[in-house]
Amino acid sequence: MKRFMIALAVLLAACAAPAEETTTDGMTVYTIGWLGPLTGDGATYGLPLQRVTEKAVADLNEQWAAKNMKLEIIYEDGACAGRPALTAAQKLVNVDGVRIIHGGGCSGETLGIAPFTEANEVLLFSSLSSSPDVTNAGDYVFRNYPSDTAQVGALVSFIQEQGYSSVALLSENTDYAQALRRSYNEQLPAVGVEIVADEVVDPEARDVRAQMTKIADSEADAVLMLPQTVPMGGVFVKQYKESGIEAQLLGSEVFIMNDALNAYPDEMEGVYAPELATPEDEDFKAMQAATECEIGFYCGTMYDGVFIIAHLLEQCGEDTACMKDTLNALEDWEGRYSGATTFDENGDVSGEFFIHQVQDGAKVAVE
Amino acid sequence: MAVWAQLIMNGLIAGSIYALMAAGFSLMFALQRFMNIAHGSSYVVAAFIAYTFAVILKFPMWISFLIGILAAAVLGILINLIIFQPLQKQKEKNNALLLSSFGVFLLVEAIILMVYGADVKSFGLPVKVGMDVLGAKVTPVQLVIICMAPVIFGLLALFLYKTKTGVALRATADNETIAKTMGINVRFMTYLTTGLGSALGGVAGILVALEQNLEHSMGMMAVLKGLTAAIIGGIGNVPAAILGGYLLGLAENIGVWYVPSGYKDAIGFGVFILFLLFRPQGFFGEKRREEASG
Repeated sequence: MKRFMIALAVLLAACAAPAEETTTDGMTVYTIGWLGPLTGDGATYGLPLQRVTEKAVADLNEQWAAKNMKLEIIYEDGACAGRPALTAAQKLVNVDGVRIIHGGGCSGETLGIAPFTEANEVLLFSSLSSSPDVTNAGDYVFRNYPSDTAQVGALVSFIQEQGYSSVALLSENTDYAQALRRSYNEQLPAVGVEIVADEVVDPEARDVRAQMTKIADSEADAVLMLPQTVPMGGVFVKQYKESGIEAQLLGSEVFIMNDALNAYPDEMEGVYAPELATPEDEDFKAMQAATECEIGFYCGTMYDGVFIIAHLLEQCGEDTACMKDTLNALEDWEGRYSGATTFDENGDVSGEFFIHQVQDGAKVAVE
Repeated sequence: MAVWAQLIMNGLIAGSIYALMAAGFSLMFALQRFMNIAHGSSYVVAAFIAYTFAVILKFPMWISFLIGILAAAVLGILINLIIFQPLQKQKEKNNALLLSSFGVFLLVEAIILMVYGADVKSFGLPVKVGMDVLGAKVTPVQLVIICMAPVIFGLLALFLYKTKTGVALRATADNETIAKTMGINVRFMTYLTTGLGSALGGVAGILVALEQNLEHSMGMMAVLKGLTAAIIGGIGNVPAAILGGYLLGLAENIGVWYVPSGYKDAIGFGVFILFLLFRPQGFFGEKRREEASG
């Protein structure tokens, strides 16, 4: 048995390709892993973000050519869930031998693989995961997208200002959406807003009529929708409108992504939701157009994430302990699209959310 | 009152879809004698073929739906012809057939993903506030689902009980050997049941796609619910499976009034486990456990 285990270990070690390689012409090639939802509902943002990453890598490699360096990425599908993400991460680390994973795309992916990457001292750098649970996921876990704690605070203040006394919650049963749900369940009653319905929907479900019946019966002043993905947001808003409920509709940032507004322009009209300010400059719009990335600020954090990782590789090679220290010490690192980035002691960045309303099919910041 | 009307209406909408799937499962089981999970492929393929013709090729909706249903029937027959019949000829056990049908289902799902991509597709019907029907809000598509399913079941009953072919089909399901001696073309009957069963799954797939949009992974839940309904009613008995579908839809949708709605599926599968434990032959089925087992 012992011999078999040793042979297996040797075999695995032989299979694992080195992630840093020097080619015959002296070029240093770094290979990192990328993990995001490429299938399922999450693919609606996983696929555009893959395109953004490809563009960022192409731009980076142009710059790196002068330094005789190159970045290569191995893309893996995490299917927006912990278990498939873990399988993909194990393949990236154990077989491909990567020391950095740019991902996960969903909080569920990040939380699902963090114990594994942490144990292997692999740097897990997410540009999308926003669940508050990611904050304490590990020392080697960083993200350049702010925690949802900020967006919950912004919407709770807005609800209070609008004078809504009761709110009904409808959330998808995923790490991201449930973290938001927990936060609203803590913060809304604390400011005197009663939660009169709190309905949860499985990610595979497409029939939410039962939930709508309960929400209609709750007679809430406002209904807050917390989907994980745009397609589920579409399911929510479509069946909400069909059920004839007339309460004010509120949502998360995912709920009012551009793809959702394009798919359901009339149904989304008037919705309020918190969102980070998306850059309005031509450079950002050109990048979005080139990559067909319609998911706002995420496109920018994803692009800049590649360059932060490139900075780490330049500073540390593949020494992830060095990367961790470098990120912790990083101050106001200027990203092309997401602005100045500084990580706190938990590997989080700060961000200010503003309430937006959907007006004539576009998101307008509310004073 | 309005709440109860809505809950019952929700149950009937879901139940109609479950019943269509369950009827297909039961019909095929009666002759194939194994749980054909590949039935879910017909559900998905019909929806995507109908979408292709209606949205991409701009065919009239009803023609697209007919093509979708026909495609589902042809797919069901082809799968039976190419995969299950050779396996049955090799005297493979029903467990092997069940597993291979699951493999076929996953393969078809993967092909749909490859061809159409992962994003959600829509027939683009306008979203409208439901109309008031007996105190419940029901959209036109939901009304079509509720009304169309009984019409289809009526036609199916007429075929099975009032036509010569239908009687021959039931005779074959009852005892294949005797049916053969009576000159019934058993092979043809097998194609007929797979085609009919798959077409029923195709109708369910198209109706769901109209109501809730379509995506490559839409089949799995339909398979689970259809199977559950068929077993609750009594597998191999088509009218029982249909009633099982409605029973499941109503149990889930009325049950969530008393428990958090996240447990909706758990209610359905809880009922399923109870039936397996205490009435494995189903609500209306006869005790034929040894035949039904894999």
